[in-house]
Amino acid sequence: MTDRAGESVRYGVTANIRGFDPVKAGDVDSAVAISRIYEGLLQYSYLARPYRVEPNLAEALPDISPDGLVYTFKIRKGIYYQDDACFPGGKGRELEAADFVYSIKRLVDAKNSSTGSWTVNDKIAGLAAFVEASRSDVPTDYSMKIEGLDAPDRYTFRIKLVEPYPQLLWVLTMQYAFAVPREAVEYYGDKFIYHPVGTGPYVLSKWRRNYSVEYVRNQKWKETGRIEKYPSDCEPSDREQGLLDDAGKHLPFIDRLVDYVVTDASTQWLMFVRGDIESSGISRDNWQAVLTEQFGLSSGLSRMKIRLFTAPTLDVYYLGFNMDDPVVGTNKKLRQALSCAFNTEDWVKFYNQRIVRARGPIPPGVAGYGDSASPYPFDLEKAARLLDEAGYPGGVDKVTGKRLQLTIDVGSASSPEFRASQELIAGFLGKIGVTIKTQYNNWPTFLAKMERRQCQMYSLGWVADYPDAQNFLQLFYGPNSSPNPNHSNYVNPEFDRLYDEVKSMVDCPERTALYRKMADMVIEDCPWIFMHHPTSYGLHHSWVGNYKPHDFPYGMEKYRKVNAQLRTEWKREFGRSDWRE
Amino acid sequence: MIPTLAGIIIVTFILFNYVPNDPAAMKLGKNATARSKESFDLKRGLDKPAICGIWGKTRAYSDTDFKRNAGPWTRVEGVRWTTNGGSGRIVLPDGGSYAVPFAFQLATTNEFRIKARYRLSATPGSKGAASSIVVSNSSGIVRSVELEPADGFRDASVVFNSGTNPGSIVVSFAVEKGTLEIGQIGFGKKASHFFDSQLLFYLRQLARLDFGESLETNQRVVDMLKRGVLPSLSLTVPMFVAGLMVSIVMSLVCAYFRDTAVDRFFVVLSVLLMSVNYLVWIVLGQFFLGFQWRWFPVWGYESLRYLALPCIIGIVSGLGSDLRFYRTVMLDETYRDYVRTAFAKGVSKRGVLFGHILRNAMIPVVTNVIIAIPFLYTGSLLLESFFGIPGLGAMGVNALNSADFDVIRALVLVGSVIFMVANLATDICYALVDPRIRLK
Repeated sequence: MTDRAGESVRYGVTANIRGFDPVKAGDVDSAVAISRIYEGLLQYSYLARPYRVEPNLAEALPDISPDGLVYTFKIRKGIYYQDDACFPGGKGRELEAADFVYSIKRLVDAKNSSTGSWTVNDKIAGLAAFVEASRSDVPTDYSMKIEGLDAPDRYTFRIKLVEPYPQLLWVLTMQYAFAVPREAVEYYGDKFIYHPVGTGPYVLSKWRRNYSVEYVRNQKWKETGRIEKYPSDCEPSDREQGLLDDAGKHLPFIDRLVDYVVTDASTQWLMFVRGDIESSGISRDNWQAVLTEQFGLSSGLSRMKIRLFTAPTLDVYYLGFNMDDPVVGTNKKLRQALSCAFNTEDWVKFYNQRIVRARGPIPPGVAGYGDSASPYPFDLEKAARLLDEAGYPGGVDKVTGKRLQLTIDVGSASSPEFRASQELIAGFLGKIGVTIKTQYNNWPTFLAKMERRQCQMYSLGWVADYPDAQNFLQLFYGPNSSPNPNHSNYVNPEFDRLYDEVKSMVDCPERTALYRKMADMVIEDCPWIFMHHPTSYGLHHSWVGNYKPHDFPYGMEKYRKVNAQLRTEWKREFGRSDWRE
Repeated sequence: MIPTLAGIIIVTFILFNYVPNDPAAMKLGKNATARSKESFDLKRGLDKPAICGIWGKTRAYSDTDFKRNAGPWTRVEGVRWTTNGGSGRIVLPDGGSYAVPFAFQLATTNEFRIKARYRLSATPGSKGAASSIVVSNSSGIVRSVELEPADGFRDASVVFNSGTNPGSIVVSFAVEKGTLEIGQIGFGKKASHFFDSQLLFYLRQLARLDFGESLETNQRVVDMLKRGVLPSLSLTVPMFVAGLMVSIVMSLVCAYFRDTAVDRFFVVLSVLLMSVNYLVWIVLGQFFLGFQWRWFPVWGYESLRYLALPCIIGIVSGLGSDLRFYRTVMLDETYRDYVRTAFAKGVSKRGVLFGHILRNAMIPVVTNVIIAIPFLYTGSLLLESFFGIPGLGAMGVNALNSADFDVIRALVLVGSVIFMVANLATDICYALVDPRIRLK
């Protein structure tokens, strides 16, 4: 953990990553790792909000045909892959349009079992035949022509869709569609996950499995004169934060990145307060020692110049009803009653305010979010009335005279905190006389149960793939029912009609209005009890510059800065001091 | 040894196949579709029957019983679900044809079997009942099986080939007259032969010395094992050897000073050491020796210095029980006749202790040592995770947490093989240290 002279190094923490194959990693840490080395046509804006896409390897945003079906990208000239043994003479070659054709074919190749094939499957013209052919035992034929994937010349890449799919732009920022050189895949074979060969700002220098990953600046950028600049379009508040000081300067700033695989939270914390790593989350054990009651930083930590960043996330957590279930599925009033019984205030309190109450399926910050009051807020009187109308006055079945008992399936029982939260939910719903039985499963069993539609109610969350309400509303689309991701098996013909209509619309006020309308339909029908959106809390040391929280933090290391001198001084001053004082 | 090995392989296979597990769903994440999970199953042989049999499964339609709900049949128009007068079932009313709701098109040129537990009865007010299971494709009916009207539930099954034209196959229940009730539907895909199973798939893998691929890390399990052994051993071997020496020396001291204050002190010490949890040593050691006093690094695996703290913690936490054990062994020997004889002969106390007792105490010591050897390979779960030693222990913990069954299975299997070998080694060592035992 020592710097070489004159070098700026950033030390961080990562979970165990799943290799460097862009099509094979679905988790955040692997995607972050991959996006340091590989790049895609598009990327997220770093500072500007609401989120938008901007060109990365493409020269500009694509030309889209008026019918919304053909996307034509011009690819930047003079982008080179890093030097690697897989290329003739070991010299990285220039990026070309055919690389994208190849990379997307790789993504949908059934032999790769990619977690990301959903991003383009059934959307690009002629892709299905390729996917079908790739299922056989013979090696996949990548020379097969696909109508919708085409490189008419060296720098033009064209995608033809079967139906309009405006989310394509979001999807192309994800690691799944990053440019992968065919030479590397063929040269390394099944070792390709250890040997990334990309165009990005960094190259992998050392990977000690289960221990650390190291990256160094990609020298090819300097050699080929590739220039990337720090952005200047931003939110007004960014200027005061000093986030614009480097606007227009050449990227990346940091020479070397080192990430350690530290699984234990308390170890991670000790390393952070010693200054060995640059950032840390806050574990529940530490919560009270780190934050004041007003959710500011404790005095010890602020004295150590540690900075706290909080940001809402685009995740939604919910209790789903299985609409196939004869008890809860057919009884809308019952679902509404249970929604009204869910005590959001106590729930937020239980989580130490680390969450924001959810009103509907769309999180705040995404177009289509409505902040009007929910028609089914926490209201025990209303809940009791609805329950009565549902045929269960006081929680007792009118017909059989038996108390209503519902089962909630959950996918883990690991932490005491989680168990306590489940008991809290049972308590909420018990207030109106409904008995709740919580069924603890391990994760695979839970998944299988949902897939087979065997749950009555289940507790689950959804993490946004891109900041578009469609990503959330698809969870209520009839044809997406289990085993696909609509695990509530919610089917509403009117909703499905609107979804079909809206899914081909580009971003415009009408679409947002429709999103809102669809969200309201879901809120009215209550296939879910909407629980919360988590808030992320992160701590950073003072010597890390240009940090701004982002929900999709991929490829953003290049904007960050490390002040090594500041770190040395800090270590001298605070390296031995106690953070609790 | 061969039968033991076979037993281990079968047991590990059964253990990890019968725990509820869905690798495809785990691996492919939240956006997974039935189709993509099916591809994954095909690649790993998970669509095959577990041990033997003809019928495997497909995700196009998984077996359903209608006890609690209509499952995928909710989507089929006209179908009702009821529990009236019996257990849950779906009701297919008169005069309709109801297609089985497949999640995706069936694979081509494969044999499938649909099995239904049904009751066909006349609709009140009309006479007779007739219904059949019909399999058809674009060119017409492929197979059709008549269902029999009866009072109780009966079973029917149809086997058919899906043909070469994808997507054209439709399986439906045609109800011409009467009401058809179905309690259960099973659906299977034919394996290529009777033993074409997951077990065979696993055995073939093992024959190639392949332990499969980790779901969590995407790496070959063999590579992971190879990479993890050295860090694990670099921690456990020094810890083990040093721990053994320290405890044997201390136990000899106890024997030398038996029934004196020194002996008592060691007994009390060992009880104290035993009663403190392993985890406490780790947390305290890391906090005080590593963080507070800066004697050692808090975390990492860079040089020998980084191994010192976990080693010390490992030795200290194991010392209590080892000391108790070896002290008993040594004291046992001191009461033997040969010790009295040796003393009578005029051998000094020190001579008896090192020349006679230590040598004779070797048998229990060797047993204890060799039993511990297989555990060296699995490393120390907690120490490795806390101190960032990239060994098999930390790997095992991660695999357990993420239900990465291929990795756990490989660890268990290799562990048991080493255990077997160690057992053999114990026997050989007995012969070396005890002249009364002969290998035959």
